[in-house]
Amino acid sequence: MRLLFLFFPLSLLFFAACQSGIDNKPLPILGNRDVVNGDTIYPSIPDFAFINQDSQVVNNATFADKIYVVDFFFIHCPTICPKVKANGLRVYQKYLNDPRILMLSHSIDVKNDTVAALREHARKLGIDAKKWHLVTGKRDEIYGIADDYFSIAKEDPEAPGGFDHSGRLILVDKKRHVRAFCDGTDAQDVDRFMKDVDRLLAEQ
Amino acid sequence: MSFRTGKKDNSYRPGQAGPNKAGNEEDFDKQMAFNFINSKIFALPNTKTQKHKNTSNMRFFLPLTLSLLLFACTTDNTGVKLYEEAMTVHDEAMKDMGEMNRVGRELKAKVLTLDSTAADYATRKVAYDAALQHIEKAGDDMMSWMRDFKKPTELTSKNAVEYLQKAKTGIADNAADIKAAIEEGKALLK
Repeated sequence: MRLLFLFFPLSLLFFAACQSGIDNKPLPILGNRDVVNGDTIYPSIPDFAFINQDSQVVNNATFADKIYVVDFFFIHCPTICPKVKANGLRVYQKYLNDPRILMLSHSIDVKNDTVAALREHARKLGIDAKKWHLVTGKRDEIYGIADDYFSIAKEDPEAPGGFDHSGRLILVDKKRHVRAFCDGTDAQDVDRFMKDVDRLLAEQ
Repeated sequence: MSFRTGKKDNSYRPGQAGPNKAGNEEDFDKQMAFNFINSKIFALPNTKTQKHKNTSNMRFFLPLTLSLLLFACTTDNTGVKLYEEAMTVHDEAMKDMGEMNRVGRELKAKVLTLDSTAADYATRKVAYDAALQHIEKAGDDMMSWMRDFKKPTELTSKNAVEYLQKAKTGIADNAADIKAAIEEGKALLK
C-alpha cells in the first residue's frame, strides 16, 4: 500500500516531466534540406522589399533579429481572409507587447490594395504598423515569395507546394527558416500555432 | 407576466401571497399553469362563450398557420445555395491564381531567352505576349469580381437571387478563363 502511495505521485511527476519535455523541444526547421560538403543546408526565405501601409520600405532588415508571422491576403477577399485576419488579430493581441515578434501580411491584389487602401484596412483592424506590416509590391514578387513560403510550409513534404490561397499563417525564425504553420481559418489550429510561437521564443 | 393579458403582473411571485392567498411556489406554479391553459392561444372550449371565441380564433389562426406553413415550404434556399456555389467556385479559382502567376513568371523568363535572330522569333514573341496578356487579364478579372461582389443582406429575395446568379456565372467564366490562360502558357513552355 505504501508503495502504491509512492508510485502515484512519482508517476505524476514523470508524466509532467515528459509533457514539459515535449513543449520545450525545439521546433523543427521545415522544408527539404540539402547536405553540401557535410553541411546541412535548410531552405530559407530569400531577400525581399515591399511597401507597407505607412509607405515605409519593409525588407529583411525590418525583421533582423526578430521572429515573424506571415500570411497572404487581399482586402476584398470574401471567404478565407476575414477568418484569417480575425485569428491573426488574436496573435497580434497576444504578442503586442513582445518586441521579439512581428507580423507581415502580403496583399496579392496589388492593383486594388494600394498603400492608401492598406492604411485604411489597418485602421479598421486597429493595428500598429510597427508591429503588423500590411505590404504591397510587384505582383510577380509577391506571388514569388508566396511560393517560397508555401513550398516550405506544407503538410506533405513531397508535394510540389506553392501559393494556394489556403489562409496559412507561417512562422519564420531569425535565420529566415520556416519553423511552423497553421490553418489561419481554424481557431484551434491557431491556438496550437501560438504554442509553437512560444516555443520558438523560448529557444531564441 | 400574465399569459392571459400579456401584461406584466407584479402582484404575484413565488413565495408571496398571490391571488389564491396560498403564498407558496407550488400554488404559483398551479396558477401559472391555469393562466397558461386559459390563455387565448391555448384556450380550451369549456363554455359556449369560449367555444364561440375559439371558433373565431380558429378562423383567424388556421389560415395564418397554413399560410406560414405554405410559405415555409415554398421558400427555397436558392439564394443561399447560389452564394455558397459562387464562393466555392471563387475559392477553387483562387487556388489556380498561384499556378497561373507561376506560369506567367516562367513565360517572362523564357521570353528573355528567345533567339531574336531566329526566323520564327516574331511569331513566337507574339504568342508569348498574347499568353502573358491573357494571364494578366484573367488575374485582373478575378480581382475586379471580388472588389465588385457584395453579399446581399437578404439572400432569399428575388433581386438577391438574380444578383447571385449573375455573380456565379461571372466567377465561373473567370475560373474557366484562368484555367485556359494556364493551359495556353503551359503549351508555350513545353
